Amino acid sequence: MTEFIILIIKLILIIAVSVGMVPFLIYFERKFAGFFQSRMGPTYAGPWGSLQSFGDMAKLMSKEDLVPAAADGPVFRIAPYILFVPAFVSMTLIPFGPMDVDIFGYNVDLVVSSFDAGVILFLALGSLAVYGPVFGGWASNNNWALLGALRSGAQMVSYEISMGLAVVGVIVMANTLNFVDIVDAQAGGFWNWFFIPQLVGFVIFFVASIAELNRDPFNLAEAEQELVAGYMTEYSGMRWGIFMFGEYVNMVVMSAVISTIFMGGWRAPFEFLDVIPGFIWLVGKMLFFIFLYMWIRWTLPRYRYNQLMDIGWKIFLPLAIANLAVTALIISVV
Amino acid sequence: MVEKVLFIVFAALAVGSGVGVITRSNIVHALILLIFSFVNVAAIYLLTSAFFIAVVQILVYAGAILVLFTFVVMFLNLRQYQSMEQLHPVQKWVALIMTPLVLAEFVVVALAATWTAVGGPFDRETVAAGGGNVALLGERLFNDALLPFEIASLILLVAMVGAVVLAAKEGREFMETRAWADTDEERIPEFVEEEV
Repeated sequence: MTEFIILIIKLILIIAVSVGMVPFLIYFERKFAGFFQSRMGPTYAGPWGSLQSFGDMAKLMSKEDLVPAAADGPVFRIAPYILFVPAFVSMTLIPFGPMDVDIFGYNVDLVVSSFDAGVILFLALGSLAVYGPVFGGWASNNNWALLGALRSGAQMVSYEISMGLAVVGVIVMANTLNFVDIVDAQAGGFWNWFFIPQLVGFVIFFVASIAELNRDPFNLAEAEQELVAGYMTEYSGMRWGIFMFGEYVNMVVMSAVISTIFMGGWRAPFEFLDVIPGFIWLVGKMLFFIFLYMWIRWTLPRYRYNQLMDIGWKIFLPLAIANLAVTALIISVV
Repeated sequence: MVEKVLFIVFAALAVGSGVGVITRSNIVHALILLIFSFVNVAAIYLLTSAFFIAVVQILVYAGAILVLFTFVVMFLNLRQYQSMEQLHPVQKWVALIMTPLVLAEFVVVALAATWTAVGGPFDRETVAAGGGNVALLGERLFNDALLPFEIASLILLVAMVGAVVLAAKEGREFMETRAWADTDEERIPEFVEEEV
């Protein structure tokens, strides 16, 4: 029974962390956007505009819940929530600290599930995340929305392949599919982290994750100048807000996954820094990657669609396969 | 006990959404129910501790294959079932004959089968001792069944190459119908190829 209660507490904590970070991330995104583009960003609501996100949320919630007459009602209503399911389930695989920690006299593993096939489950859930934008865009019954949906679907499917192949290099090196064991394989200082031997895989994974998240420079799915707002054209009020929320939650999860696979997860860069608890290191690394996403988004212009597909299929896919071949060769020889 | 209840829940959801798939007239609703049904089947695999199979079920069926279904449906914009019914008027009558036959076959097989638990060397304890689901499956697959595995992957590769060849042929014909194909020296003009 205590195990069950501990599990529930862990689940609540994980959902709270990934959802609770979002308002602050939106605020930081807007502040960074201002900084990168020599503007002020939000300034009016609260000190330095820090209450901007909450004001936005109040505005979105008070707006009318609008479903277009020509839209497919049930699908239109469900679609925004689909993005959350894979995000939360992926988050349960991430270890926030070592196993068997003593907290208030209870032995607790600082991970929700030490899942045997964790990395594949993460990839499988990533392929389910496609359905949010695709069904949302289809149900809107709007040409721009449908085009945005098809674009986002094709983009996510294409980049999933190179993303999956990029991780296989790490799997071969760590000899496991379990996130907990992958972190353990990177013990003992930052020179053991996988982003150094797997630099190619790391870069491919990171860029592919931007495409998976539908963020600039790969946000073809909602390209404002061509498609109004892509698959979100017909969405307004809180339903639109839930789409945005889902994208930010996915960004949190994706940064956690990258930190875990390539940057040692909750482990400190030097052994003597282990006194600082693991989850602080993990959150720090996540914030670093989230900052990187924001930096890239507000600095680079958007790619054209054929460029996006060329990068995915003609550069990243062969590169990921070559990376895997070289890694496998070195592992089997050494 | 808990597992039995969970199995009944997931099985009911899987069968229920499966029935929904064939009764919905809206093809996208049917697709969504099919995805839901596959996810529930994956949950049943999880209950039997077949973690790897469960994940592959989601990755291959709910993820890859149904995304392709979705694309086809959206590109062809098959919003209504009625138009499809007009396309295939005979199909209804074929189905009327075939479905009772298949159902009868299932019933006969189910009645003839003896329902005993299949024994095998892999119960939960041996799987846990052997390093988990993935490790054991991988060892078995690449030691005992390497040749069938490679043959299967070769067949899939052939299918993939075939699809690419067919698509490339159609793509080339499509390009030739374009106005710029009149120069008949280069089938695909340079500016299309170098447009990166």
